[in-house]
Amino acid sequence: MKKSSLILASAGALLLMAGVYLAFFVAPDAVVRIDDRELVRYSQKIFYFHVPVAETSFVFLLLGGLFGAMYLGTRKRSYEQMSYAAVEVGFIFVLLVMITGVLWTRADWGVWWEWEPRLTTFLVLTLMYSGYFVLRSSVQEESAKARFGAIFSIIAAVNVPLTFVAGRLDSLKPVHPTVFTLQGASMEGPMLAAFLVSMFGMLLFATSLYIMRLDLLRAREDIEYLKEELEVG
Amino acid sequence: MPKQMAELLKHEKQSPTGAQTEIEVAGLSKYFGKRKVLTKISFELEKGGFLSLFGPNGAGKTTLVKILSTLVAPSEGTVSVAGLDPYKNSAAIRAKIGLISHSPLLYLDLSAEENLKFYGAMYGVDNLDARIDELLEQVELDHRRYDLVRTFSKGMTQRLAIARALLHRPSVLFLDEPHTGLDPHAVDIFESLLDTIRQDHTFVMITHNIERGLALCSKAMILYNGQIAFYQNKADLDKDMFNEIYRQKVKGEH
Amino acid sequence: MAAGKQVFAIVKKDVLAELRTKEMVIAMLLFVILAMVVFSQAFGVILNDLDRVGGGLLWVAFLFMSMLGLNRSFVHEKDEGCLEGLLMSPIDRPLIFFGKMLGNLLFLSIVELFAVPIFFVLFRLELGASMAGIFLATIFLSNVGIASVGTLLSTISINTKTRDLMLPILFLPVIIPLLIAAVSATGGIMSGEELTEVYRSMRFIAVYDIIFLLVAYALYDYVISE
Ligand SMILES: Nc1ncnc2c1ncn2[C@@H]1O[C@H](COP(=O)(O)OP(=O)(O)OP(=O)(O)O)[C@@H](O)[C@H]1O
Ligand SMILES: [Mg+2]
Repeated sequence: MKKSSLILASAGALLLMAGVYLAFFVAPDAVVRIDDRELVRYSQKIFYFHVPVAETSFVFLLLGGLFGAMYLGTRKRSYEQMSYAAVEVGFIFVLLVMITGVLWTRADWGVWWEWEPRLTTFLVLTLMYSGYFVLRSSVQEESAKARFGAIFSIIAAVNVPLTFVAGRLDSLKPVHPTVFTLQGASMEGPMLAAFLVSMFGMLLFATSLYIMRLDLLRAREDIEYLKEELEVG
Repeated sequence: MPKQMAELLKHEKQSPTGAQTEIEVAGLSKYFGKRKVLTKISFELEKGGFLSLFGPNGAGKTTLVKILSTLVAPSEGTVSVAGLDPYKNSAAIRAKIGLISHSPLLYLDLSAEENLKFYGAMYGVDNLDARIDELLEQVELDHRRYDLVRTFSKGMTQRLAIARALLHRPSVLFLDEPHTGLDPHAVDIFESLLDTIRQDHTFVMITHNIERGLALCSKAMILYNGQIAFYQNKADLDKDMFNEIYRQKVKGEH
Repeated sequence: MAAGKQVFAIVKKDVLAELRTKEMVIAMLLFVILAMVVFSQAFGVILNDLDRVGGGLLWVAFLFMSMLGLNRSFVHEKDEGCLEGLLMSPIDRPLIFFGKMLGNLLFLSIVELFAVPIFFVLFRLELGASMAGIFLATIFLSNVGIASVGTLLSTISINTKTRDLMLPILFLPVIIPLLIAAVSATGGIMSGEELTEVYRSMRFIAVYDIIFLLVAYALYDYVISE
């Protein structure tokens, strides 16, 4: 592991732990009562991880599309690896969003799955990016794999915001709590602090994953190259 | 072998060319995934030249022609056709290129005439109707012009493919086994057609027919395993050496 | 000028070939009708609430039908080796996209022109003349998006090992935003909702169309040539 990714990973881990502390011990509990009976108290804490995970997944999926476009423009192999690594990290975080979302749904609403617009959006993203990996694996030739992968990463990245807007088109009121509106964040003080700390922690952690993955991809290619050299020689 | 090849290439460079270079290939390699299909191919063909390309199945002949005709991108090396780089000026180059490939590039559910009209529109051919009449007459498909290509025999389809390739009066022609399916009469038609445009057109023809290939060409090349195994001008062609290499490489005899 | 001629030539050739065989349009139409029958049998009970589920039913049938045509349009081109012929000709690659996309749009719209009345008759729905106009406009607007995304993705999918099997996997997730908006628009029209809601969905569809037309225009050269 390279030094840079080690530092990033540790910084991310520290921030995330700080986030856990702030979320549980500083930020106020969100207590829901019906007839004086306490229904839920702590389940909302997952918000401090669910949302940062979701936003991190966005960042990396969009980066995947951006690097994909740069690959098509320059045909430099390194951009293709960057695009692939970014999509992979983004995809892992999409899966994490699904998992944390399902847990939260279960805790608050008592069901494992709810066809709620934004959770559904992430299901669609999961499927769309599964398509990305299936597409890559069903193209044999290396350059075509890179090309089609880059193209689809762009199409999918363009589609991410569209899927989101479409999810909110429905005149049905979303059951999902909306924290960020156009007027700004509806959070204050300790809540916001806990959230921001988790957010940056998550981004750093994801970046370290991305760098490690990229190193691995590069190392793998170097090995392939050396193997071929040996065969020829 | 490599030593011999290097000598051949040196020999080639020394020979006075005089004419303008139409096709130039330098250090061309092509990989499909990990399979190396072409390895460091370099050659030149002058304007008005005729290169006959021989080689066993899978030698990389079709791949070479596809790279020259802008359909496949090279992995390494440079290519220039009619002074242009196929990957920068591809539209300009494609207007000058005609291709007869393994598949006829014809729509089965369209008639002979409709096919030619479609390609005529794509190439922006002047006086298209007259040109189509002329070509259909030359390949003797006049009487079938309104019939669907689906109903054609293999030889007839190939004749129409020839008409299609010549439609826009290309100055560079790539012929990938153009004789397949043609009866002797059609071969005569085809070769007299080539004869009429032989001047200041440049040809690359892939063929397994040594006799015709050598008769038509100004240069002969044998491709083996993605490498040039033989390459000489016809004027000073060493027939024995050609036969020997052809026997070894293509027929697989030792 | 020349560009327009080339695009027109591609559309004309596809139309001519289809007129010869009529196999694609007829298959697509039968498929849509069959899909409606299958739905009516599978969801018999909730069909009392057709105003609300009708829009969804229609679009599911249309989406799956469109994939039938999209696949065929390129499998054809590829199988007969004609894609190479197209690629060899001196046409700007994005124009190939527009030619194929317009053909697909045309076939899709023709089939739907027959399918929509059948849908209304089968499910005993009614629309006023002014509403019918908006209804058809919504469908056409959505077709532009379906044909753009579909043409782009089916060109990718025929280049994979699994070929036409790949199209649904790539196409459906990408088309879902449009599906949501189209269902909400047509459903809104059928249940007599306020038109502002409908127009909002239609605006979204228009934005989606424009975005993917631009994306396809920018990417098609990379899709189709190495
Ligand atoms: N699209 C492709 N993907 C992977 N491999 C390919 C592709 N096209 C060609 N090849 C491989 O490249 C090699 C050369 O093929 P090519 O078609 O150039 O041979 P050829 O010399 O034209 O043979 P033939 O005399 O049979 O026509 C073969 O091993 C073939 O399998
Ligand atoms: Mg061949």
